Amino acid sequence: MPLAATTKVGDSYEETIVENLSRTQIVQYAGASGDYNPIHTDEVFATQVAGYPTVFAHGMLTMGMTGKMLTNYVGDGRLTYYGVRFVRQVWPGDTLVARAEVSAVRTEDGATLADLVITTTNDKGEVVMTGDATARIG
Amino acid sequence: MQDQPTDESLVPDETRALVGTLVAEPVRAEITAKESQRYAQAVGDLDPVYFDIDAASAAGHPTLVAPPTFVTHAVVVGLPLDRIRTDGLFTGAMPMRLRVQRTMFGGEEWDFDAPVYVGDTITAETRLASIDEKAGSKGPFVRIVRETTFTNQHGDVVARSRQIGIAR
Repeated sequence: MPLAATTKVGDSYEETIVENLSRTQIVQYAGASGDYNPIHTDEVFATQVAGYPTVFAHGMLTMGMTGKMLTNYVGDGRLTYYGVRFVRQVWPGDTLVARAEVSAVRTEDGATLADLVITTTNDKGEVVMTGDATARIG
Repeated sequence: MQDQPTDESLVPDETRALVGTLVAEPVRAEITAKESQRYAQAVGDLDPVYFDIDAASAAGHPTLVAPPTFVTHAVVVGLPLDRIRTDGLFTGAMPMRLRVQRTMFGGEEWDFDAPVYVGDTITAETRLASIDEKAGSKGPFVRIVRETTFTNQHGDVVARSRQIGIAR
């Protein structure tokens, strides 16, 4: 299903990247990434010291999960640029949908590139992360 | 407080002078299958080219592929517990003084220049790319951009990432 040279502006793809995010996955990510900030894993620290309602996912976890949607859409080895901005916290129990929409198709140095606008949304309909990406499509 | 501002700037001149310099010692790490796969599992990305050598070969790769964003984590060096700061990060980064209360991670962007494979040795060099004071709706803030260049054992730049910090 990788993006093809026939891809046009307005084409889009979306994927549920996590359902009912578990605290276990947040801990799994902390270990795999080496980011041990207790705000993500320690309920007492997150609530009583940092003043948050509970722990929340690493922004980079949302980025990584959204990256899975992107590589599924554009195909392996075709992503040339990926940038994200964290808009809102992601909490345990959240279900996230990541969406990419083609905003431009252009030619650069003989390669055909597609620019994508990325939005990751929680199950309340709130945007948690926005981003842009570019992929080689031909 | 020792560092009373003498002007309105949140960024002391000594910090502004660090733009372009390395913010930490360069780090070198080997991409291992186990670590790459643990990362892929943690982000729920079970693409066979990360796990199955035959699938990687069939897709035209010389060996197992690492997920594109894994390279950032591959160069995190494990350290004993007493060198982990209260914010969970490792000590060792060069200090940078700002006249702010808190810093937040605002986002990150990458350029992917070449695939990263299991067995590659990656060297990461991080510089302070820019530090700008901005006016925001909640008052002035500082936008800090650190840029990391990832280079493989062949001398090819495989990725560049920019980490954006917001301090106010």
